[in-house]
Amino acid sequence: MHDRDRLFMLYGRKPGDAGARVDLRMMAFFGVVLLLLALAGWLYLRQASEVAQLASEIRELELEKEARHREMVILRGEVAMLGSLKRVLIEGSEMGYRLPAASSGEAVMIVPCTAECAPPPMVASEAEGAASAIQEDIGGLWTGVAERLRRGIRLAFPTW
Amino acid sequence: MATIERISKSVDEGQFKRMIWVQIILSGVALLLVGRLAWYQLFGRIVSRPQAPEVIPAVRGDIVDTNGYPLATSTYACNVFFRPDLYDNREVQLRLRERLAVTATIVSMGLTFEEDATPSGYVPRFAELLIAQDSRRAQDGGERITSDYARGLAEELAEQLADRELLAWSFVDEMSEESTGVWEDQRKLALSSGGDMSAVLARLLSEVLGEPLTDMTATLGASRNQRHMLSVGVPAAQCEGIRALQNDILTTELGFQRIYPDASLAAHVLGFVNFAGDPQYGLEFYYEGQLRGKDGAWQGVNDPSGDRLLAELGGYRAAIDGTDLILTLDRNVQNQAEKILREAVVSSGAESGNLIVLDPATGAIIAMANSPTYDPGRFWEVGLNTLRNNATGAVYEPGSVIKPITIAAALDARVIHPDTTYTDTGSIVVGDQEVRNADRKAHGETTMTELLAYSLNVGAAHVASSLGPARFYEMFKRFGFSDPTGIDLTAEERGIMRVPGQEDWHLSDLGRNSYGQGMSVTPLQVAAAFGALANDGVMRRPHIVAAVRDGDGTRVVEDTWGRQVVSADVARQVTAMLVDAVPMGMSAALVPGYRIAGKSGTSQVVREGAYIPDYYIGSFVGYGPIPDPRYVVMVKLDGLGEGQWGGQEAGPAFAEMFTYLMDYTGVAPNE
Repeated sequence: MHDRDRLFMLYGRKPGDAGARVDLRMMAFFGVVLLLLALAGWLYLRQASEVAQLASEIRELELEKEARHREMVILRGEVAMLGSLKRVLIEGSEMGYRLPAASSGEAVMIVPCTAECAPPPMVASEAEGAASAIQEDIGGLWTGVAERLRRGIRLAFPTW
Repeated sequence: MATIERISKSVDEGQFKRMIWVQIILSGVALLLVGRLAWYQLFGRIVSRPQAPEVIPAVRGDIVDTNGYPLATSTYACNVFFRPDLYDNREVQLRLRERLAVTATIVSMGLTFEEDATPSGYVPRFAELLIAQDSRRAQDGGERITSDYARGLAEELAEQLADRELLAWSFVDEMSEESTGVWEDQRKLALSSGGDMSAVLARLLSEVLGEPLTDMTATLGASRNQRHMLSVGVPAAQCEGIRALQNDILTTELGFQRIYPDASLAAHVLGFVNFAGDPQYGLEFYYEGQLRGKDGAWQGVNDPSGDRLLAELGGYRAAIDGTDLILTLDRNVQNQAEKILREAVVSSGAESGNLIVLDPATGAIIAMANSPTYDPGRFWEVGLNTLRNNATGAVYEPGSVIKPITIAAALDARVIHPDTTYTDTGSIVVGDQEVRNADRKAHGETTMTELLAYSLNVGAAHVASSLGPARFYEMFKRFGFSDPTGIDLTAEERGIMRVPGQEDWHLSDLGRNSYGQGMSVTPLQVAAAFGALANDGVMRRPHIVAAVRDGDGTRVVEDTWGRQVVSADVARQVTAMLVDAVPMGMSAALVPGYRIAGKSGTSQVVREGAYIPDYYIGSFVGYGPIPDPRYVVMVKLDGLGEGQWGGQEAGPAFAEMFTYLMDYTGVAPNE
């Protein structure tokens, strides 16, 4: 064995020796190597975990962006439904507005409701009667279920 | 040297070998670590099985009217399906019944919470309840619990309440069939109060989905398809309610869906998107490439737990939403056109009809109505015939509305002039066919205006004979007959007009064609031809998309195409004749306060080589206000009976539409 090779050996204890004899230079060398390796490993792990964390955050943000986009589409759809001509005409007629006859030559498209065109107010007994009729018709217990599901089960509970 | 030799000899050989192995292993681990690090650094990738890209669907572009009101848009909603095959399975049905029953019980128990309450807000309430319970226990001689313990327990319960949905469904699970806990009685009560399963489910679905109860009952009772659609476009919140039932009998599919806010308004122009997301008919089909947009994708790798993790550059590609279409259509005018047409069809007893409003100066379609119509959001409820846009996709014999074109052709060729007269003997032979007036009368010395006013076939055939086949057909081709107009709508018909040189053409066709028989056209072709007369002889291509709008802004769709069909003088001469003719023979179409030019037509339908008896098509085409026409209005009614004429039946609808247009646009009366 070449002498230089021996330099990399860590000498053990011989049976019967009084104490251990250690080459401090070798120990220091290996120590530095291990320290460097550990540092490199730690840096790598830190970098990798940061990258993963950032990737995860980016993914979360992208998901959020898509969710907001979906929400916008839903809202746009709702606005379209609420602003539809069909609804405008129905709501308008309920509020007492009417379209003038095409041949009447009236200058305005919509005329405000007068006292005569407003629907008569419902008497309290009539209102109660109508409500109980609906209740009977649908069935109490199942009405609750339907109402709950219609609102969405999540919405039926508090949103804290 | 001697020292080294001495030390070497003293080394224990076994220990030496072990140390070598330790070094090798340590070095190997280090190399692995360094190698892996180098690999990451150099290639920057995480070793993973390639993952299929996750599609991010693009949202389809909106279709809006000229004022920006959406006629077709998209939303995020779900379709609810019913599985009759599973419904027949007693066990599955029982499970659904269980969930319905226990949900009902929760509702009946009044398990509701105040709005804006927080979990901590419940702590005192729970504590009070527990202390009250504790007091009762003490009175009964039981062991007391401390108030601290009660408070702690209450806090724990409040924590649980934070997941309210979980809590609700834990009640449901608690009360399930397998459980015999404290809720058993409630469960039995719920089951017994449920009544007939089909009736309950039908009622529930009707309530939740907003569908007619009769439809739901019929579906649950009769349908035995593998999968039956119960409702489309159900909002996501309601969809969640259905999903919460956790039963395969009712399934949901969530995604972007097409909605048509005004239901049947302009249905034939818009077309629709079917369940597979494929466009059918109308603008939806014609502009599919622009409306669809481009789907995006998420391409990446999964983390060890299986969640998608983006670790690649460019792994996320956002979807590019479809382009919006801004139409020339005005939803108010369209709505009025549909209303007027519907009323005209009903009052005349016709089977169907069309109404077109066109701007002659630009070719822009302001309204295009068909009756009967349908709701594009519920396209499956009607037959294929109803889906077709008959204003552009169905041909008919136009009848006398063609006579102004014959006169225009003759005037342009200088065969006649505005003051030309002819002697109407009540019949004329063209080719080997005798042509007669519809009233079977001879009208004697007749002007061209009278020809138009009283719609004399003999006069039209006389003029066409004077013109000759070559010039007659050349002029008719210039007016666009037998060619598609080029409108940006799908499935446009070109019409049929035999011309000299074709095998089946005969000279007698010239006579028939001069008053609109023996040829077929679309209502739009007639409207476009009259548009040329209204626009000083210049024909514009009918179009329905005015502009497109996307992320880059709004771009106007320029259509500069125009064809000088006849000279401006000729167009004005024909217009003047038509203006005079309307009060003479078509007074039903008169519009008080405005001068209008127009012509009526009544024709029959050929089936198997013969005209169908007692089945007529009546139409009226007009434009105005003269001298500066702004609109061409074409009304056609199919399936009129004996004795019903185009001028009488379609004329009033024209007048009503025109009056509305004048009111709507604020054009002052000029007469």
